[in-house]
Order: sequence, then structure tokens, then C-alpha cells
Amino acid sequence: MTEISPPDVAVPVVLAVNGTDYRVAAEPRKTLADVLREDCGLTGTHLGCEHGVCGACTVLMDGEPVRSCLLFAVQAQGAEIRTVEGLADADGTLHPLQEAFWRHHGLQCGFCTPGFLMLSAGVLESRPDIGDDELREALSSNLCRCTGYQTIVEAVRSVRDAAGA
Amino acid sequence: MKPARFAYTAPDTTEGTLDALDRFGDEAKVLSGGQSLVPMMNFRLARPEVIVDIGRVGGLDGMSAANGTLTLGARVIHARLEAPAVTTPDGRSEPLGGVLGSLLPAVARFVGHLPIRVRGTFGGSIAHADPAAEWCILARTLDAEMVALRRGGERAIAAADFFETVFTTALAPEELLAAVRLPILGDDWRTGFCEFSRRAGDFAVVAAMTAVRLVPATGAIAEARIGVGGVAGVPVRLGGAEATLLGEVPSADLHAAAAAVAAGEVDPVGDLHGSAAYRRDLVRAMVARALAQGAGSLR
Repeated sequence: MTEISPPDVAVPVVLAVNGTDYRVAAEPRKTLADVLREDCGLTGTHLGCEHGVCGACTVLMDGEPVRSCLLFAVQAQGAEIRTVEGLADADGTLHPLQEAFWRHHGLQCGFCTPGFLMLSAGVLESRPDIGDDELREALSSNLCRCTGYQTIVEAVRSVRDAAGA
Repeated sequence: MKPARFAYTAPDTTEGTLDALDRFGDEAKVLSGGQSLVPMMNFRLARPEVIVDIGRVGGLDGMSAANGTLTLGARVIHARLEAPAVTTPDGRSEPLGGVLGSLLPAVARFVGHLPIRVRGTFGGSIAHADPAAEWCILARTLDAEMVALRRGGERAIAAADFFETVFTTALAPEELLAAVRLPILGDDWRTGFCEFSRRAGDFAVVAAMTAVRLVPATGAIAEARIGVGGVAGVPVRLGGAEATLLGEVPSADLHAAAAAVAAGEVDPVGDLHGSAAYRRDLVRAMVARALAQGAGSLR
């Protein structure tokens, strides 16, 4: 018989985040987003709507952008997770996408930015030559209430074009 | 916005899953990609006692074509249907061609957004049974068969019997939806899928799928299927509109006539996304456009 974890009891969970193994104890109902923030101390991942609409909590799981509010941490065991904390180099050099968001004013309040960065990173890594229309469609996955999106599109497009040049 | 407590199990085999479902019955809920279930749990609209996570079960994500049937494993993610590939009997992977090879990607693009499509599964969408969900409309329109497993047994459920009402299917609590069988449409079929939503990626207010089979010699319609979502508790087939098409050669006038019959055949309930009259009008528009899409340049 497969093991059953009872409710209310934290179970050991090992999460590989940005190349580091985090050993935490989490109730099965605890989402990946909450475990990243509260147990791993990685508060760069933001929670907006908590039902999969806004995309602020987007992280990469095995290279694919996913909503970390729609995943329980127990489901993410064994997967490679990347969060916004993993984008910049250890010496503080920003990731090209972070540079581009800065240069193109792809953020104002910044709440949605970690989600947009991880979404964009996942899209450009799997499809470096993505077309403009497909890129806009992919970026429509997440919500931003400040920028009007155009500057975000321009930022991501500039990274795509620089990489292809 | 946090889910209620639940017990959790993640079997790694189908047998283990069926044992768990058998043991917990209607206290249990199957978690596949979680892109519909988890939002409902976060809202506490769903409060299952036990979550049976099938994410680690092997063998549920195959796609194969044989004997005129395409079999989609329940855990095939939406994104894979954007470029569907089937495993051949000798184990090779090859792109799915033909009518379904074009139709599935065209429909998959309407399913949520990219992060939803890489986690959410075809079978999960079918078992969730949202009446406006693209795959539910497709399954109903094409008369798909749902393969349900239980401990020591298996049965196939026709789409017409599978969808009972909103979020409710014929699956028994101890049954697992393991696969869905779709008929492979020959090259004499013309299909269309059209959806209206307020924003890209939202659930459809109304969506329509059409499939007609043409007699090669005459170009007349020998078989017609029209399925609509967003107008009732389940995706519905519109027999009256289908009958309008039979024996006729596709034309803009014929499509308009069928669409008018379709609009008269539905009995939608209005809600904040659209009044009954508005939805009825959308049925007319979506059916006409889907038929035109199938017929190519005809408008």
C-alpha cells in the first residue's frame, strides 16, 4: 500500500532550488510558493491572486514556467526549481533579462516582475527564436497593473534579439 | 486562498492509484496537473479529504494511433497537443498527421496560458468537466470514449454519457480516467473550432466545434457534427443544426442557415459573463465561423 501522509502533519520535503537542496518540513497542502517564501526564505517569488491567474508566482520547474501557487511543494520533489534569486550571478551581475527590464522600464512597482522574469527566461531558453506574436501571446500569461505591458514586451524582445545577433 | 487540510498520497503505479481510490472512495480526489483542481481548492470550493496525486504514475502519458483510434493518455499535457506526436508500434515517435494532427494544435492554443498548458493535462480537463472547456467540447463533438479503470476492471464511457452536469461526470469515486480515445478522422473531414472569450486564455463564454464529412465526388455533406460549450451544464451536440447540413454542399448561406438553427436549439442561462440572448447570438456566430473555417475560404 502506498504511503499516506495525514493532514496537518508536516512531511519532509527536499527541494532543489537554484542548485541548492533545501530540506524543509511542509504540510501536504502547503503550496510551492509558500514553501519557497516561508521555509526556504526565498521571498523574491511573489503571490498575487493565489489561483493561477496573475502569474506573479511563476517559477521554472525543470525549465518550464509554472504557477507555484498551483503546485504543492510535495509535488515538486525531484524537480529542478529556479526562482528569481537564481537569475543574477553570484557577484551581483544582473541577468540580461533583469538588465533589459531596467533599461526598457519594464517595471514600475515591481510586484509582478519576478513572475515576468521567470516566464520570460523559460520562454527564451526553450524558444530563443520565438516570433513577436508568439512572444506577446506567451507574455499575456501574466498580469501587470503598471506598465501597460509594452515595455515588458520590448525588454524581452531586446534580449531575444541580442542573443540572436 | 489556501487549501483546506487533506491527506496526501502519491502512488507510482496505476494499481497503487486504484487501491487508494478503492479505499477512500468519494473522500478522494485525483490530482493530475492541478490547474483546475488546485484553484478550486485554494478558493475552498473543493475540499477533498484525500488527494491522490497521479503525477508520479508511469504509463499514463502515452499517445498512440491504431485501428482508426487515437488514444491519449490522461496525463498528456496540453502543451504536447500543440505539436502532437504519436508513438508507433515499434516504439518510434512521429508527428500526428491528418485532420486530427491539424485540429488538436488549433484547439490546444485556446487552453489557458503557457504555464497552464505545461502543467495541466488532457485527462484532467476531461475529468474536471467544465462545460466550456475546449477538450470537453472536442470530446463530445467527436464522440470520444473515456477509458475508466477501477480495481479489477475497466470500462469505456461514451462522451454522451460521460458528461453529466457542471464538474460532474459518470466516473465512479473508485474509478480513474486513464485514457481518452478519439476517432481518427479521414481526409474527407473538415473541422473548425471557434471560441469567444473576453481575454485570451480565459474560459470561453461560448465555443463551437464543427466537423463535416464530404462526399468526394459531389462535395456534399455526408455526416455533420456540431458541438457547443458555454450554453449548458455540459457540452452539447446540436442535432437540428447538424441535420440542416446533411446532403448539402458547403456555402456561406448554408453555414448561416445551420448557425441560425443552432442558435434556436440552445437554451443558455445568462450570468455575469453574458446574458442568455448574448450567448445565443454567440452560438450563431461561433458555429458559422467554425463551419467557414472548416470549409476554408468560405465566409
